[in-house]
Amino acid sequence: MTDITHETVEHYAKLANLAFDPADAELLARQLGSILSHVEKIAELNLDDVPATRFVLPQEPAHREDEVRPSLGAEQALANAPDTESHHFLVPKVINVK
Amino acid sequence: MDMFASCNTLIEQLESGAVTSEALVKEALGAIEARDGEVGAFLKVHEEAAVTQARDIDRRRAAGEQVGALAGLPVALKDNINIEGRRTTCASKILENFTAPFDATVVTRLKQADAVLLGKTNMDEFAMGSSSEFSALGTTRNPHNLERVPGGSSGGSTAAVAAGMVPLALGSSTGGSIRQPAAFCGVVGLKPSYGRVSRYGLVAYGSSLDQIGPVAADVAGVARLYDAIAGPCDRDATSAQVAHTPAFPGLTEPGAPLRIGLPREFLDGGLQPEIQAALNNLVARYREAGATIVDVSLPHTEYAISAYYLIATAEASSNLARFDGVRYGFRTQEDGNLRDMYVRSRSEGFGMEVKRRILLGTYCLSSGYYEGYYLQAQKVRTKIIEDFQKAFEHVDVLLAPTTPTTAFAAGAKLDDPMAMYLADIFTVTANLAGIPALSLPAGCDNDGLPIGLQLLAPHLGENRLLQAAYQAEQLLR
Repeated sequence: MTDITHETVEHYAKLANLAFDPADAELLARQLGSILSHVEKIAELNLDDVPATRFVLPQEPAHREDEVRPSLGAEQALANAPDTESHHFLVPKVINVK
Repeated sequence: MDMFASCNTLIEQLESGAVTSEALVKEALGAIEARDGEVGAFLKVHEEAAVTQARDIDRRRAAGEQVGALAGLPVALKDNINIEGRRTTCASKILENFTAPFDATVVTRLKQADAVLLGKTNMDEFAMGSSSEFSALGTTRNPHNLERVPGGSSGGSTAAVAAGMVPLALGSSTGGSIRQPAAFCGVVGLKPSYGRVSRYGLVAYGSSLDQIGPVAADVAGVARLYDAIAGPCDRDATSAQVAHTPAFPGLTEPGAPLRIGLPREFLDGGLQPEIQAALNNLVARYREAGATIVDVSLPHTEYAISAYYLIATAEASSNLARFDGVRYGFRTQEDGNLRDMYVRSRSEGFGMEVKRRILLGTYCLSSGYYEGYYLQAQKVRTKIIEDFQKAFEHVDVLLAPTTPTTAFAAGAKLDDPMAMYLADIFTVTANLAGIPALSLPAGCDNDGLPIGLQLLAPHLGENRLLQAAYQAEQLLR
């Protein structure tokens, strides 16, 4: 079984902007270890010369003309925001933070 | 009138004036009132708007005006599909108060077809799960047995159809989230080809896999709903640039005798005996009807679950980065700097399964692991596509069980993520290859729980797939 420690969990949690309490980190370490032990099965295939599939359609992703079209107005775009001020999204202060 | 009646019957009754859409909608609302307390299929029912829309359609029909192909039929939508002005929660605390600012393309098309948008159905949070138990906003149970799960992640949509609350519903599938719950609930569910149905307005989970698809009590209903939503869309860059030929009009045409492949990797042990018997029965019926049955091999099937969970979680970790408490969704009440706000909003807003998948996806995309996990999984995907291409050189469709067992008990797999992931073992290959696949009911097991069998077809082969499924449905009657 792949050994995942709670330190590993905490490292990747940080990369993903998540945080876990110690009990959850221990539980996740065990569960991720178990999942990785299973999915590591794909390593037994030698696929060095096989191209990776990123898009299953026999076409390139479609493009349309770059023309201006109606889109959400400022009011609508801000309507779901937790905090706003005069047509801006409001967030905690990020400059001159002590 | 009966919500369990086929869509064909309901449409005939609406067209002849034997029933009004208002009566049908009220019947649906009555069924929800009577049954949904215990089933829990719906997160939100739009009662007033639905009745108003139904009256308008009745009025237009009575005045001899042109009405759409689904005019007056109630449709339920999985709650990860946007309807302008309505909540889209993805069954998550993080989107609990999100109001969609625009219609998904499938919603625009349903409105053009004059379908009545009745409400939004429960699901696993962000479509991550196989039992609908990972919803943060409600519990859905299997209408056939309330101790069992309805499957997932589109469990609310399939339970709503199975309980006779609506004749039609939309679900979405990333790894089996339409076919698996359709099988558990005893209804028909289609995952269309990747690119066939626009995903504009569907909240993204695994973008190289996600598809919206129809659920109904029978194949004809699925074909009608599929016809209403399929076809190119210039708001989805992954939309297949191929015109859609309606499937419903040709559904009953016999066509050339079917060549059906049985992939042996789906039949190797572990299958519930009644499901094996149901498969054998359908094979025998098809053969009697003139079909050729061929043994085929899809040798990379055993690697599919691994490749799927690596690719889906990697894509999810990227897609769900947008939920940070700034532009929409839940924001923590705790004080702190910007980064604290991100971390707390996400940690408080997402449920455990979503966090588990984000973590796994982040891990397998990270430096040092990317090649071995994500890239290798994308290569396995190439081999799975080649397996299908080889198989379809000799057969029109493939036939296999949808799930290894019938609906499992509520709570049975909640504490074992890997056991839950293995519930998708027969469905993920179609998503990885981007091909269409449909599950249809094929009897019940010894406990009276529905059995589902699936048919798979080549990319964009939905019309032939639906014909084969229609034939199966007739043969099993």
